[in-house]
Amino acid sequence: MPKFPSLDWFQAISQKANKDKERFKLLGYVDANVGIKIRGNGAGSKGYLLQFADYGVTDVKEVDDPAPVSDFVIEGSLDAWSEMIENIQRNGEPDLEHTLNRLTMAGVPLKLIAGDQMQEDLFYRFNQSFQAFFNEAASVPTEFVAS
Amino acid sequence: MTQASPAAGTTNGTGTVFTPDQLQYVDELKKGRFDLQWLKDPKPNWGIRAQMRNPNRGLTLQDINNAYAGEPEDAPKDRTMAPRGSVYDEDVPDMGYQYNQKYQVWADNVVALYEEACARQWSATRDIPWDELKPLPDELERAQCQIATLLTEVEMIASDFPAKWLWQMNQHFHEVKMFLCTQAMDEARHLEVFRKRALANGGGLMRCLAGTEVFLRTILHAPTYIQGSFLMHVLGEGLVLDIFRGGEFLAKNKTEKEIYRLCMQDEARHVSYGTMHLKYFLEHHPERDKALAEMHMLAEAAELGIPGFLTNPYIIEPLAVLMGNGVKGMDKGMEAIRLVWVRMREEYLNRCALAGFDRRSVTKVPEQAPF
Repeated sequence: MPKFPSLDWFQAISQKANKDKERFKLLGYVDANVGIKIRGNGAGSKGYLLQFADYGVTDVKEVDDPAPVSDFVIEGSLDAWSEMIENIQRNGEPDLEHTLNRLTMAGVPLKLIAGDQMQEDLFYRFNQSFQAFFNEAASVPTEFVAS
Repeated sequence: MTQASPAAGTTNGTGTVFTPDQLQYVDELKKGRFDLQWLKDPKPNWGIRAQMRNPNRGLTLQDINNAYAGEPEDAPKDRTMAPRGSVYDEDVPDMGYQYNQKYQVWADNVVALYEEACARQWSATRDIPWDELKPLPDELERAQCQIATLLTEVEMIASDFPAKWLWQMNQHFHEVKMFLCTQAMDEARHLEVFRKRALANGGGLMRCLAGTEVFLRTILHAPTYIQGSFLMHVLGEGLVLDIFRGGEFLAKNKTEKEIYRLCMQDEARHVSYGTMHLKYFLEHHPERDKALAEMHMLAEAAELGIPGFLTNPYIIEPLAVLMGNGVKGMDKGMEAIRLVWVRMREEYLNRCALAGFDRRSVTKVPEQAPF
């Protein structure tokens, strides 16, 4: 059972998404490098780069700082990320309070950080695909690292 | 001339609908002689085999543009519908296009945006979970219907506006026209989905305001494409994008959530084109300083209208009711409106800056909501 957060966990989600290709095709292709930053509640932070291309994620990397290699970064505390994943797993998809869009809307508990507005707008343009990616967590048994 | 075709009528005063040239050709055909000139024409583009850069995606516009005639000229000399890179008669008629310079219509992301738009189409009938709609308390249903009425009203401007200018754009820039066709379809769907929402859950269409109509009229009757594009793509759709983005505050069920999310994706493409078109326009305008000054004058006047939109009780109060989950929660809802105000202003200024159109120090949009 992969731990969240870890490279293994993001790879497991990516594999799920890649098997679900028909669903992602219906949503449309995606061209975006998405950074994920998870602050460890005082225990340092973890960074990941998700390379979205076509109808899934072609590569996942663990990186110290995702900002320089991403179109945008979604940043938040481990608690916030874990709550989102747990919510998806509990409901099969996020409830109205736990979608990526909802959680980033006010800059808390998740924050969207981009180099410029066009890069930030990619989050809006491909939003359904990013959400569908994280929704794959519903069927990936996960061990949550204590915060 | 010999025999007239059996199908010939009597409309041109010569006993036949065919011209002398046509009759001569028909005569040759009857003798089994074909023209075959089209087989002897020059073939400047013969042997082209556009390659799919990515078979997963299919053969894209970028792929065929990489193969042949993919780069539009800055100022094509002809005014024809003949495809860019084709061979055509010297006496093709002038189509009367008014926009014959690339900088007047182009954006460097428009080819990719067209493909993206085609890949991300959806159906307001099929893809919205209408069966998830549940009866709402009266004040929430009224609020949702008031916003749905507003969006039904305003979204179609982004179909009417490109339709007005499409035929005036030189077909040499076909990618722009194709993208604007996707935008017109997107906005038709937005009208459809919000009208359906207003009429699907026990409520109905509500009030439309003169002030909103005045702004729509300004866009529709803008004297030039760039002026209308700035008003609509950058300012108007940028504002609506933030309303869509806030849709998960507004949504009371999966149906509405899905509506706002899908509309958000569409709207973001339109804003993206408008921003990059403004950038291209300003970077390539032959009189850049003059163009910049004119755009600042336009922006200043348009920005003065934004506070009116966002202090209108028929707009912000239903938004606040939805965001606060009822009239009792309107204070909380107004907090969310203040957040949307700041975000809308910031994103608008960021997009202008990205286009090389710095409005930050001169903008008329107040930094904070005045309430």
